[in-house]
Order: sequence, then structure tokens, then C-alpha cells
Amino acid sequence: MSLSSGRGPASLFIVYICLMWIGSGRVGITALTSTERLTSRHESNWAVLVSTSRFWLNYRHIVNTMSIYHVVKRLGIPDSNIILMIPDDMACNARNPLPAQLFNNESHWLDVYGQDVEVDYRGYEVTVSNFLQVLTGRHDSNVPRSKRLMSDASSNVLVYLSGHGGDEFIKFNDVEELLAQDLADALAQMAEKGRYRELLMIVETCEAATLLQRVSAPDVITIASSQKDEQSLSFKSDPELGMSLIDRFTYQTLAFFESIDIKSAATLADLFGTYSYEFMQSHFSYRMTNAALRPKDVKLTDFFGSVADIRTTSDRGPQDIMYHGDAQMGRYMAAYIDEDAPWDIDSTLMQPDMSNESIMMWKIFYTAPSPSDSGILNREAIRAWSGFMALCSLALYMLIAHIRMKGYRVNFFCAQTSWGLAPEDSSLVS
Amino acid sequence: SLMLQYIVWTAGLMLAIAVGCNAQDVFSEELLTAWVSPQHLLVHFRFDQGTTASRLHTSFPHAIQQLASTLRLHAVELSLTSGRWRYTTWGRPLVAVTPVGAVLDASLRAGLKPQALIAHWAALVNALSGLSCASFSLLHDPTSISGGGISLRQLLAPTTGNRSAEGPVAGGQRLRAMLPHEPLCTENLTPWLRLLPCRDQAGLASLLRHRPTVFGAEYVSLGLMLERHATPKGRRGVRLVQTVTLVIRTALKRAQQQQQAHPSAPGADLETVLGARVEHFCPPAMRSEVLVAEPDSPEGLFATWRTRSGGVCCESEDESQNGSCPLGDYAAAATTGTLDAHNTPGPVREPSRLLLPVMIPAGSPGFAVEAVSQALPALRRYDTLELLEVGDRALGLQLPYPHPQPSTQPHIAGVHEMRANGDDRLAGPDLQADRYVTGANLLHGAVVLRIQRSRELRARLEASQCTGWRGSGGAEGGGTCGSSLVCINQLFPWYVRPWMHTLTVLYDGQEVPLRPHLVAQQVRPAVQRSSPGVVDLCLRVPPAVAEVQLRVAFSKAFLTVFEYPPDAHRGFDVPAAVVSYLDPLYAPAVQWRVTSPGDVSGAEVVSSPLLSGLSAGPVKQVYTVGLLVPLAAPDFSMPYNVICLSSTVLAVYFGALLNLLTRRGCAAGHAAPERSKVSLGGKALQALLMLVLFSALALYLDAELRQHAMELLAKLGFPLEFKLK
Repeated sequence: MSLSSGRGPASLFIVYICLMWIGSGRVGITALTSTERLTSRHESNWAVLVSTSRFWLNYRHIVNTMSIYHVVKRLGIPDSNIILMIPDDMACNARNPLPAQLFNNESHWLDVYGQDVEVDYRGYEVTVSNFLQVLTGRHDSNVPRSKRLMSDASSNVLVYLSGHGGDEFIKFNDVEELLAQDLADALAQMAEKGRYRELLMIVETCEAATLLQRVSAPDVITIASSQKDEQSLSFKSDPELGMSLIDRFTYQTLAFFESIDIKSAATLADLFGTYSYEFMQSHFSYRMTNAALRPKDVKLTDFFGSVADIRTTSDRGPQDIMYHGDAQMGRYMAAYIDEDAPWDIDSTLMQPDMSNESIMMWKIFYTAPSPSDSGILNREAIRAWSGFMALCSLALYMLIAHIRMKGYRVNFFCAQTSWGLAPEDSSLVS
Repeated sequence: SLMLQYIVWTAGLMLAIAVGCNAQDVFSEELLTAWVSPQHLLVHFRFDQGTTASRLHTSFPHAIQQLASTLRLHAVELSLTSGRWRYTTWGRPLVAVTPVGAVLDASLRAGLKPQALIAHWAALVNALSGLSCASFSLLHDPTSISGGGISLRQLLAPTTGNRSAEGPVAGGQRLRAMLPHEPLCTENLTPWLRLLPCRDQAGLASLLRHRPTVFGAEYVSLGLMLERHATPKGRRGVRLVQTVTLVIRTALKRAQQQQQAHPSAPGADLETVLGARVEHFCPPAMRSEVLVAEPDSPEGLFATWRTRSGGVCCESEDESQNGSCPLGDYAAAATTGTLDAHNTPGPVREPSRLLLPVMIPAGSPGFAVEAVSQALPALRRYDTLELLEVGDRALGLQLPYPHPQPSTQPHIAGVHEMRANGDDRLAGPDLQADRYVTGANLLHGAVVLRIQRSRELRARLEASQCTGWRGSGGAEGGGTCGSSLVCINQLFPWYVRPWMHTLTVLYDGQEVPLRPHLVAQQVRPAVQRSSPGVVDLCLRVPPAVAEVQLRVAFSKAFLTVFEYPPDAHRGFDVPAAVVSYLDPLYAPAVQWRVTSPGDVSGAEVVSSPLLSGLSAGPVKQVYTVGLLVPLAAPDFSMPYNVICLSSTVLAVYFGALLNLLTRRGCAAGHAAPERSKVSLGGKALQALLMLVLFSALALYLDAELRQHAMELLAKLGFPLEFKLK
């Protein structure tokens, strides 16, 4: 008030600048919607492959993960772009009669372990916090580059999880659990930080679909091996090793990928066509948070293969963008005009992207409704109402307590003195 | 003048570049094979790389150079091992043996503040975990770091000033950490091979290409040593030593029987044993050699050589210098039966030279050769390039046959004869260390370290008591020779707390007082949850003593629930103890001489990193096997958590309700008793609110309860078909 009355024109100017600043911020926000993200170039591929089970009896979970590792490596993703988390050593385990090899089949013709392996997190390092740190990129500064997922908004990321799970959780290393909400939050954070262009997440556990049901980040495709109250069963019992070698869902996936190469045009729909309940004894499911996408539009090599079309972004100037007709030109222009507030800090940190969020919320509700959808909605409604009720009753209770406390002020003081907190009260001392 | 200046500057720059180009990368690779038992073949690879360039490397790995130049370190040693060296059947190891799991040993430059030290350690551990795929990030926190203990070598080194065993190691700070449960597999070998200029595509390293053989070996050890050096010219250099040690069990028995039936049948081929072939030579290698240990005693070979050269024609120095004295078929003459088996297949294909470990008397190095060292075998040396020229994209290297008898010390004369006579006491190794835990209590226990010395070693120590090699420790010990020292280094994790007052020492089963026998000690107690305890003891053990036992009682700590590893019921690892001792057999300096035609003293001296590593001095180290201590572990099962949480919630609920219903106003007799009475209606309202609060909370938290509630409501006839519009 005093500011505007004191120096009128100056304050008007400041208000004007503020408006300009907010306006430029809005440009940034509208440019960050999910449709824009998809038109960005696909420049790199990353894979985070995680097995969460320890102990020799869980040989098959390690083989599951190593199978996908075998696939992505064969299709050209280099070790530097693969984050592999293996909690126990199966290949060189003392109980393994076939050292330094892991097989998906008792015929022993495909060694999914291979000659060259680089495990980034192993043993006790495979923890929920390390997994979430890899996804969100919130590492300690000392962590070497080989252990980081250094993807950006032009990277397609494949995340694969295999282990023991249940309703909305997966066990890590037999001591802790990754919950569905934590996973959904990590993916949402990845989306906010622009850590992926598209993300394909595959989970092979019992009740895998429940782990993925809370994911709401944009441009995420999730594939689950089993539904709620369903188990993800093992396959291929080996008499030499004395146990099951692999799980059915991953066995089928590996079998499919063994038939394609990097030039293949196979899509997710082709992969889904090979899954059958007769073989897997569980229903697989998929979900796409981008409503426009269909399985037949998603090429498998976009996630499992490697693109060599690389462009550095460090020396990208405004001119470059003009020449190439970049859709995000507005942001660059805003950054160019407004030097004080760099667009990146502005749009990512200072102003949370609410418009994006609301769009996503609508998408979730209107994509691929499953048969039990209305039930889920009702349950969610009950949940919301019960939470509201809890809050209300707590507030009411505290209100009553407050009124009572006011009413018995004397009583309240006497309580204090009886605990000896007010020794200056002479009547009590004497 | 400007032009002139320009020319001068350019010339200066060119000169600087030219000088800089003198700095270069050096790569050398060597392979040593020896039979350690009739079925077990030791294969030891050693790759040495050195550079004096600070950048623009041709073969030296840049990551290592950067690590060495950014951190203020002297040396870093990393070893990853699986399996253990079986002293009883394989005898004393030719090469250094490491304990099971991962060991990281770094010595940093002196003068680093504690915080800087920790930062250096963290950076080093992170860099190495990226370079070796081992889970070293677990070594981050200083709970696992221990300072370097007393080194027997340094204890014996003649020092003039006051030498306090308790003081820190001079010339730097040593940090050491162990992960006893770290596995070793292909994922560790892959980044390790990347540090080699030819990886496993060419050169001797391509023998490691068949991973099942490498990791199916009974003992596998992967080593990496990084050192900073100053060259004689004052230039700073970095040295990187990579080693692989394998002990492979081969199915040679049948082949051997075949060979005995038909002496001309081909024997074991090195490439067949390893399942991989060397197809190409690695071009950057300045040295690429294969050394094959002769299974026969070097003394016999030496005697033949000396009689051939000295006895026949080399009477004077001059004639021996001429080299006119042909040695002839020394090997066939020296051995009986076993050696000519491998001489017969194709003598043309063997461009080998026989090396003998010749002892140099301390007084006059290089001349007046007395004898060969009994501690080391004779080696047959092959050049890889020559082998590859002859062979068809393969080395085609035939291994000699091992001694048919199971022998522990195959290269020591006389052992086999005594074994044949039934003297079993010689079968053991020189020094054997066992360690075990006593007591099945979850709170207390005791650990026993038992060291057994063989009769041979005791005899040697006895002999060296007065005449042999003397360490400076002898002066301190009041006339006792330094050679009778035995040092023990043991690291205790903080959750295993030894009580040092219970330490008892037994010599041959008799308890002896500790103080008179103690030469040096360094005991650092553990700090709860932050650093492990270290016990270093150096004892004087008279040569007559065959068995030393150390016993110490310990109590076990309770861990909090988050400190337990996932496999808590497996037990907790206590790292291997190190026992270092002196063996007079290894005391004399050794030169490797080629048994070329000519006099013994004039023979060509060969040296290489591996050869000098073989004769590394009299201080020997023996590692015990790992130890598992069971700690009290709670039940980690899932219901545990559920029960805990739900009973807590119920307790809070009932507690609050009970409190509400039974409590009267405090100090009822003091003031306004009529006001402290709460009306019945108010209490009922509060109870109702409490009920609503907790049931709403339960509904909010539990999806299944919501489901049930919904079904119940549907049964009761409530309309539940509301939908979001």
C-alpha cells in the first residue's frame, strides 16, 4: 500500500514486470503437457532391471531379471545405460553346479548370464531407497556415474521388477517392501523432473497389477504379470539344480524376444498376442496413462533396443530451435527475453505444474475401464469420506477438550502444581 | 621481432610436447602355472601397467590415472576372492594368497585431517565400486574401516630412532576394510578386464574367456593394485598391477594313466585346461611370457647344470665368459621319467629357457653362486609371441606332468622319500592357522586361534637361530632371534566385543604368561556402531613350540531391528585373521638365472615383475578362513509387523477409551470438586466421537475393511451406485 502510494510509476512497472514474469511462466507450463513430451525426440534408451529376491531358492527371480538383461543387451543397449540390481549371487553360488552360468531352460542352451555382465547394485545394496533413488536421481554426490540413471526428457526408460509381492507391495531383499504409492510417487517425480520421454514398466510378481494400480504419471505403460488374488507361477524345473528356473510370464517374454532383432517392427500388441492364460496360469494386464496410445502403436525396440540417433543439447541456442521448428520455442524465447528468471528454474521449481496434473487425473479416470472399475471408485469414495470423518471427529474432539480445558482452568492449574512444576506456589510448599 | 618471438614460443611448445611424449605407457603380461597337487593346477596371471604421462594415454586406463591423480594416495590394494587356499593339500602358496571376500587396503599420504581422510576414503570406495562391480558402498561408513596394524616387516626393519609399536605407520595413513561375504563372479571380472589394453580379446588374458572354468575353479582371486611412484628422473608415475590366481581341478588322472601306458601320448595342454585359446598377441605388451614350474626339485637341475658347466670345461672365469661350454640335455639327465615325458613331444616347438632360483649370499651379490633356493621351483620360460608363431592361432603349450604322489611341497627334495617312509608329520604345511568359536550362548562366546608349525619350519628356525638371517627384533628380545616372531592381526566388528583380560596364550597346551612373550601390541577397542576393534599382537614363540593357541572370550551385542542384514540367521561374519611369520627359507635374496650353456655365475640374469614377486622376502602371511558368529535375531516374519501395528492401534484405542471413561478430574479434593464431575452425556459424546474417529481411521487405512463395509451396506440395502460425473 505504502509502496504504491509512495512511488506510483515505479510500482506499476514492478507489477508489470511481475505480470510478464508470470506470463512467461505460463508459457513454460503449457509447453510441458504430455502431448508435447511425446513429440520430443527419442534420443537414448535406459533400462533399470531389478530383482528383489535373495537366497538360492529364488534362483528364478534372478534368472527373470537376467533374461531381460540378455534381451536388452542383445538388442543394443550398452552396459552404461543399464542399471542392474541383483541381490544375490546365483551364478557363482556354491550350490550352482554350473558356475558362471544361468539358464532359463533345462536344455541349458541359452545362458542368460553371458560372458560380460555389469551389476550396478548387488547384495545388500538392493534396497527400496536405492531403487527409488535410481528412479528419481536423488543420489549422494559420491555415487559413481555407473550407478545412476542419467536419462532425460528424450530417453525411453524400461523398468523391470521381479520378486515376491502381494497386494500393493513387492518385497525387497526379504526385509522391506516397496509400496504401490511409493512407486507411483517416484514415477510422478520422474515425470516432473523430465527424466523420461516414455516409460515402460513391467512387473513380474504375484498380484503384480496391484503394485501398478496407483501409477498416474504421464506416458507410462505398465504391464503386470498377474491380477489381484493371482499368483505368478514358476516354470521349467531343472533336476540338476533341483528347482524352478524361471517364471512363466518372463519365459514367454524371453521366448518372444529371442525371435526378433533390432530391426524388428514388432509392437506391444504382438507381444501381448503370445501371452495366454493356458500357459501362464495368470491374467496379464496393461495400462497406459496416455489415452491416445494403443499397444499396436508401441514398437518394442523403442524400449528394448537402442537408438543411435544422438544429438547433444548442451549448445542448443535459440537459433537452432528456430531452424528446427522446436515446439518448445516459446520457452526458449521467454528465457531469452527474461534473463532474471531462467525458464528452467521457473517452470520446474517455482511453479508446480497444476494444469498437467488435472489433465492426468481426467485421463486416469477415462482410460480403459476394467470390469471392477466402479467398485474401485466406490471404495475410493468410502476411503475419502472415512478420512474426512476421521478428521472431523478429531477436530470435534479437540474442540470439546479445549472447551473443557477453558471451563476448568483452576483444575488445570492444580494439575500442574501437583506435578511440582510450580514450586513458587507457597500454599503447596507449606 | 614479433615473428621471432612467435617462432621461439612455437619451438618451446614443440619441445615441451616432445618432452611430454617421452612419458609413455608400459604394459607387461605374465602367466605362471604350477601343479600344486596331482589334480590341481595353479594358474596365476599378472598384468603390469605403468605410465608417466598425465593424460593422452595409449594403453593405460584413464580412469585409474584420474583416480590416482585426484586422490592423495600412495597405494591401493583390492582383492576379491572366493574359495580358500587349502594349505594341507596344496602346500605353501607360490604367490600371495588373499582371504575370502573383498579386502580393500589403502595407504594415503600423511597429514590428512580426519575429515579429509574420510572424504578420501568415500571417494575411493565409490570409484572402486564403479570399477569392480562389488558392493563397496557398504564400506562407506567408517564402521568397517580399521587402521593398518603392526606390520612384521616394519617391526623388523632396522631403525635407529625410537620405534614404538603403538605409533601409527610411518609415511602415511593406512586404512583397511573387509567384506568377508562378498561374492566373486563374472560381473567383477568384466570391468576388471576393461582396464587391460586388449581386454580378453588378445594376449594372455584371452585364456580367461571361458568363464565357467574360471569361476568353477576351487580358488579364484582377483587382485588390483594401484601405486604412485616417482621415477628416477623425478617424473610422477602410476603403476597398476592386476592379478588373477586360479587353482583349477583338472581331470588329468586318466590322461596321466594313459601317459604312463604310452609315454608318447600328448599330455595336458594349458589351453585345454582353461577351455580358451590365445589367438592373437596383444600389441602393446612389451613382455608377454608364460612360466611353467618344473615339478622336479631345482636342486637336481642345478647340480646337473653345475657339473655340466663347471665340472667339464668351465674351470676358469674366461672360458665361462666365452660361453663355449655346451650344456646339452640337462633336463633329461637331471630327472627320471617324469620330465622327459614332456620333453619328448616336439622339442622343436619349445622355445623355452629354464630359469633357476639362485641364491645370492648377502656379502657379494652376483658372484660366487652357492646354491639354488629350496623355496622356489625351477621355471621354464616361454615367449608368447614365439609360441604363437609356431602354433596355429594357439599357444599349444604342453604342461609337464605332476608328481604322481600327492605332495605338498613338490619342489623340495626329500619330501617324497620321507612320505614314502610313512612320515606323515611332514604332510602338513609350514604353518597352519585355524580359528573357531566356542560356546553356543547367544550372549557370550569365545574365539580360539590355533597356530600349528610344522617340524620342518621349526627345524629351519632352530638352524637359523644363531647363524641365519637375523632381524633387528632380536636385539629387543634380549638375545632371541627375530625369526621366532609370530604376529596376529584380528579385526572384530563392533557387535563382537572381546574381553582382553581373558586373553590366554598356550604354547603346546601349556598356558604361558603373556607379558614376557609379547614383543609388540596394538589394541584398539571398537566404538559402538562406528568402528571395529583391532587386535594386533606380536609374540615371541621359541622354535621348539609346535602349537600356539590364543583364546579370548567375547560378548555379543544386541542390534536394533534395522541393523540386521536380510540373512541375519546365517550368522555374522568376522573377517579372517592374519598370521604373519618368518621363514628362513625365503630369507636369502634370489636371482633367476638362465641355464644357458656356460658357467653358473656368468649366466644371464632374468628379472620381471612376476619373478621378483615370487621371491618377496621371508615374511609370510597366512589367512584363516572366515568365521560366522550367530547373534540373537528376532522373528522378522511379516505377521510380526502386522501384529505390532494393529496391537499398537488397539492399545491406543482402548487406552484412550478407558482413560476417558474412568478418569475424574485431577486432584479431586483440591478445588471445585463439583466442576470436575463431567456429565454423563459429555462422556457418552466423547466415547462416541472416539469410536467414530477410530472406525473412520480403520476404514481409511484398510482397503479390505472398506470392501467388507461396502458389502455390508449393500446387503442392508443402501444405494451404492454413485459415480463421478
